[in-house]
Amino acid sequence: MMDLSALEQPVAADAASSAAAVSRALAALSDLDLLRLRALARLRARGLPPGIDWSDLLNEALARALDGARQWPQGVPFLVFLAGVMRSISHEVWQRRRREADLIAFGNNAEADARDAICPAADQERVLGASEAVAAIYRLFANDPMALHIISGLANGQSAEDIRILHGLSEVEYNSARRRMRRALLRAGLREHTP
Amino acid sequence: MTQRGMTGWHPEQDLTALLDGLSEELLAARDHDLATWVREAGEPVEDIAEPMRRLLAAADAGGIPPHMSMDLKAGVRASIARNQ
Repeated sequence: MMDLSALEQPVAADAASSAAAVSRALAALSDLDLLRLRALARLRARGLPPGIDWSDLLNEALARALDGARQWPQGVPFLVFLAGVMRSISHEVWQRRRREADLIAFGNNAEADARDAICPAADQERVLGASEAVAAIYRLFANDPMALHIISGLANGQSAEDIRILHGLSEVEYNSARRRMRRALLRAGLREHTP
Repeated sequence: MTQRGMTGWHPEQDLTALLDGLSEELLAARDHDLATWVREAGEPVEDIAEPMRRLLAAADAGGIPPHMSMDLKAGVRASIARNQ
């Protein structure tokens, strides 16, 4: 990653100065950071509704960061900040989808407190999309049992140390599997079509 | 996957946890490793970086319209632009 001193927002900022800092940071990203950002966007776009791809997600994140709607917090590395914005946008997309499904199903009563039914359409779509995305990620590592252990642990919210101990991996084995995993992720992020 | 019976499986929660963990892995990867892996894939770094640089420049110039499904802040954005 680029030099941390350049990467981090040096002082607490208002919307306008945050936006200006984002603009400067974007221009200063190295080629390798651009690759990393692309891979992050492609990864986070997995499981989004059909018709929304990684570049839509990245564009929206950039737009929010550049207009100050999302402010770059002090001390947070720039790519970590952008990754967080993409994460929250993907969550909002599904929330919006659910509201739209409610409106279609219930019309003007969609917001009524007394409504005793929940429209399942958006949730079912999300569950299906997530199932397929999880399966696709597992397939990326199908030939690497150690990486699969790590993936499975991450999906369960386990820490690196927990995963290593649970599967009896030495630190060398664990770190080696993580490097293979990162390489596979980067390569998937560089492909035109996500497998 | 979540350690519950299949009826209690929430793939969207698993996916979120997985993407969070894998994003951290990408962020933690060293530049040296990234450069090596891209070289192994047979593509010059610049060839992949250049379209990204153009995309970022277009976004910075406000030249990319938001996707319909994501334009959640359009009103706020228009308001900020008008008042600048």
